[in-house]
Amino acid sequence: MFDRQMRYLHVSQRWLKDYGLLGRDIVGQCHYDVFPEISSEWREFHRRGLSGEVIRADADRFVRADGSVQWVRWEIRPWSTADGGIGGIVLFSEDITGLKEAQEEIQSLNTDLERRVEQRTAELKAANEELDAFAYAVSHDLRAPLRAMIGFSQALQEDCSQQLSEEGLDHLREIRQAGHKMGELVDGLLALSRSLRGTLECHTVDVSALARRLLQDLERAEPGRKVQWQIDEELKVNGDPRMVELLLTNLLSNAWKYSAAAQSARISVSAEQRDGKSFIRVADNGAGFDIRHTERLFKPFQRLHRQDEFPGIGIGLATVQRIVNRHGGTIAADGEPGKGATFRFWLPS
Amino acid sequence: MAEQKTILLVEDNAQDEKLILRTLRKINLANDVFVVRDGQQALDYLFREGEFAGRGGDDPTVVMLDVNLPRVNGLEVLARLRERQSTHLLPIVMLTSSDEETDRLRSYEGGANSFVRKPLDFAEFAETVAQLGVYWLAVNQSPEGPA
Repeated sequence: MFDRQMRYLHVSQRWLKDYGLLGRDIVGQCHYDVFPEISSEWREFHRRGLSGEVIRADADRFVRADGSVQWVRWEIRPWSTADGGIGGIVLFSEDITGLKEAQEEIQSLNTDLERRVEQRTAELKAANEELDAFAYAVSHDLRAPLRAMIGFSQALQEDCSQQLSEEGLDHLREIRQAGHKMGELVDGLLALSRSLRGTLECHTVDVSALARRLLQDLERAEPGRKVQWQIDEELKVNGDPRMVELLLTNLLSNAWKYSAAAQSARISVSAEQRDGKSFIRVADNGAGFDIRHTERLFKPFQRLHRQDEFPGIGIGLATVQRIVNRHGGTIAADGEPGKGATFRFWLPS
Repeated sequence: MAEQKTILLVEDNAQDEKLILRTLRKINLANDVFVVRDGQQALDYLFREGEFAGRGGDDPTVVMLDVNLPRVNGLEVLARLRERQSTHLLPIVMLTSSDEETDRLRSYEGGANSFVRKPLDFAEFAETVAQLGVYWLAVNQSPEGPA
């Protein structure tokens, strides 16, 4: 609190502490003698206060005589004498340097974080594009030499079968078979990478109709197989139609494949309520699996059956899991050797 | 119009070319095939420019165009052919190794008449090539009408 000549009339402990004046008695002294560095701008504020104005600032930057920076919240308010005249000013001032520094730190951390998120996003985008380009190159460039290997083996067999022994012809068949196997691997890898690429465009998918169509396709491809299948009506999920199709294709062709040896093969697609969620359940009564190996079931290139039992490359369920994960859903498997396998998946709506 | 019906095959992979020609030979169509090996050559051939300036003979009945080609890729060749009055109706069959959906969509958007994935299996491949040859040279009626 100052009089009209800016002499201290009263000073708080807080003020003394904030301005490093503890232990000094400054009452009666002129503010400008205590702080000679006070700028003309401030002297102008004081003058305006003395002429009746209230002036304030929430965060004002100060450079002290020693060069240190101080942030101050302040208010200048005139006080009146008994006769109504202005007796001087009250200067409330609070050192908010600590607060201000913390704010600036937060600000700078935020900016830094945003920059890093941007950078990571760009890196991720680049990595995705790289993956796209890679998958594209794989699909073109790995298939071409395979086509040549398979094609010329067959040409050799067709054109020169007279000159080849039975053993020689058998070798040619092995070459062709290996080529086809490699082709399946390439296609599997592509399907797997495709399940991770692109943005999801989710719609309601009619699972009943889709499953019916896929099972009919499987029937057509293998008319010799007799499989009883049953699909619940009105099964629906919310998901990217292409991804859901890939998911169901994998589950159903597995069910189809692994039920080949069953007495009377059965496949069912149904709804199941669990933990308040509506799961889609795909079950078969085929070869099943040992639940102790469930862990490996969803890993790429891991198989629970030998090639001579059930051929495959071990990519289907890995693709299924990735699709479910990308949708934020869950999938679980249940099985028993010789009794069949059951897969349940749920996609959020 | 008793013009000779021909296929222009644009294929940079020598092995695929051999396999395709072998198949066409088996159905007696190999004599009607002219092969170029990159996109620029294809454009020069069809526009009678560059090394094919002043080339005689008619335009092919159909172009079998690989999607992945050196110099000018297949989709770009397709776009350039569709821009020109002289080739904007020319039947074009895109051939590709991949089953990339984007290739397929871009081919049809670019005005391709067919999109065919080269199958891995030779028997399938041969059948596909034979069907294409027969379809475009014998079955299909060209934009100019029956020959």
